Amino acid sequence: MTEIQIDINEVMRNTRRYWYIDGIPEIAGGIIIIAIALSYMLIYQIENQMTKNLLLGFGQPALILLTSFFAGKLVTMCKQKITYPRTGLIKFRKGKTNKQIQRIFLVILIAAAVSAFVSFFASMISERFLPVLGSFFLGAYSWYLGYFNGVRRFYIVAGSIVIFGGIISWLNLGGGYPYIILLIGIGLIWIVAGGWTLASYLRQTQPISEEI
Amino acid sequence: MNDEQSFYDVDRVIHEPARLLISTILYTADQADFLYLLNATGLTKGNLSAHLSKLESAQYITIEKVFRGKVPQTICQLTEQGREAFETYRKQMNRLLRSN
Repeated sequence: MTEIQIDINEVMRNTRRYWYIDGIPEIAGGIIIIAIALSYMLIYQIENQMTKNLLLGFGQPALILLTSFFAGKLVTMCKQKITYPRTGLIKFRKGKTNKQIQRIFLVILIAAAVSAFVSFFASMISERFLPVLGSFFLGAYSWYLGYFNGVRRFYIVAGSIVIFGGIISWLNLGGGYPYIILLIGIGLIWIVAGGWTLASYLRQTQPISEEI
Repeated sequence: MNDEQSFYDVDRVIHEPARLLISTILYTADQADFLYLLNATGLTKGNLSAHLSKLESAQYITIEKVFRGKVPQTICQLTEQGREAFETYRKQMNRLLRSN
């Protein structure tokens, strides 16, 4: 047997974790969430119900896809400028088109299941507690990301999201504003976590300018 | 096939710890450059080069030299053959560990 024991699963997790080493993906994620919140806020102001429904049904998903596309490009560009010259390049394998389509359907299915689950609970509890319930699901997703990729700070992000949701529920604001504030708050939590990580990454690393 | 025989059949190119580490990284990520592999493995430049050459000779990885601005960059990628060899090695080792 080998003299040095190599935990393959741990090495794989460390490799995946490298994507989050600089905090850039979290900042991009936070920007997307805030864009969703702002678009929801704008739609909420519209009085014509038909226009509102159309924008919620088509405009918002289109905006999410568009923001995600540009955020992805921005992340790649930032990583090329900041991360790769300092600690090296990693490019992850892109799935085949069939698998990507399957994944999109899976995400839609999970989103529908979560939505049905939330609606089921929503009918059982007071509207006041919906923000904390929503934050619980978003916090659980952050926790899962942290576990899967071995990024411990995501657990803190998850906890912060649930606490923030709890505060929103406690404040008991009326109308659609609790959800807008909740999304803006979650976006800011991700941006702060990413910004903190980026600052410490820049402090600890230097770009390599010569051939190695 | 008994366990002893199965152990001797394990791919020696991948079984070496440093090369197993490199193969695992390249299996998880599609591509990695020399700088990343140097940081991730903790090997010296010479040692890493030697192990990469061994993997390249076995046609398990491809090594490509490109330029990032004026700085040369060495990009390593696992070949389909390397991917299959890693998967076979992993299955063999899992079977061996389970049987012990």
